[in-house]
Amino acid sequence: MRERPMDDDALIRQLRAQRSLGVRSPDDEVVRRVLERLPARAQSPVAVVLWTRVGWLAAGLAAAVVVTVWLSSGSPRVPRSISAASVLSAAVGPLTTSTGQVGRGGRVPLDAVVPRGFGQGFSR
Amino acid sequence: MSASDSDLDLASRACDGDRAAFAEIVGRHGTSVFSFLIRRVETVQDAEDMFQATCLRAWMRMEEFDPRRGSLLAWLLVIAGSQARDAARVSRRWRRAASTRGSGAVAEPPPAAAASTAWIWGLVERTLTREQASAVWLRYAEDLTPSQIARVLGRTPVGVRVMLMRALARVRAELAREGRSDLADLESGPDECRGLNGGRS
Repeated sequence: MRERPMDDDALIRQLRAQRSLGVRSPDDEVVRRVLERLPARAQSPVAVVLWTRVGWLAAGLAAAVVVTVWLSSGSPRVPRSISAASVLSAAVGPLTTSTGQVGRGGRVPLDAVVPRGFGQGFSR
Repeated sequence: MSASDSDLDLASRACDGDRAAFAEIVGRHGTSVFSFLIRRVETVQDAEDMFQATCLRAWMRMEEFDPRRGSLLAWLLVIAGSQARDAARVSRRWRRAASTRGSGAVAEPPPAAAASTAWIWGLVERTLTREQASAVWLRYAEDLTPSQIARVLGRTPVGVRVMLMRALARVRAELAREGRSDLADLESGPDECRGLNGGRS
């Protein structure tokens, strides 16, 4: 006698009926460890904004608008060839060295930004 | 924390940093997430590692859960699926490297669940590929829609439908080959399974 082939409905019924046999639970110890090691979530509004992609986008757009307005207002004198030092200089005013010299030509002497004594104790 | 708290309430509290709410979420859906993961990996240890990574990622990105796009479980499974895909990619690369160094191709090892699940689900694990078995599990054990499964597995809904159709055909063929087609006459499986589907169908 030829067996009647199982149809999809019957098979699906079987799968659903035996779901419990396929269920696997994580070890309690694993769950406990996971919950114990959860890092703190940021609570401050600024941090919450920065958590989300939309927050990052909004913060980036706001920063871009501020910089555009600031540059187009003409108050800072931004040279044609912008170097990092000249942007810094435009933003915070002329930089002086530890000896009182003003950096020239967009070049900022190293000791204007690196504290005196930095690197002492290192040998070549 | 009452049992009647909805997933949405819990997610919202967890979003505010409430660890107890997140623990409740893990208690509620952890088994479903783990049951899915164990079908995607080679060892129980891998599944546990991935489970931890999934929980951590869910906790850190709780605010990305959007109830309009699906249930909390579906969202957790999408995260788990993404973890599993990343791990599978690494594992494939490793196997490819091993097969070029050694002799011949290295076969995909059976999923960690295969050895331990019984009866029809065991047959599903043995007969189908890991991805097919995962799709069948998500569809018929977790009752996810093909669209939700597509998001979890990184496929198209049509691809998932086709995969499910082929998977069922393959299981039916295997049952026929083993001479167990008459199981179709059983309404709810063997005695130990009766009444366990808890209205999920």
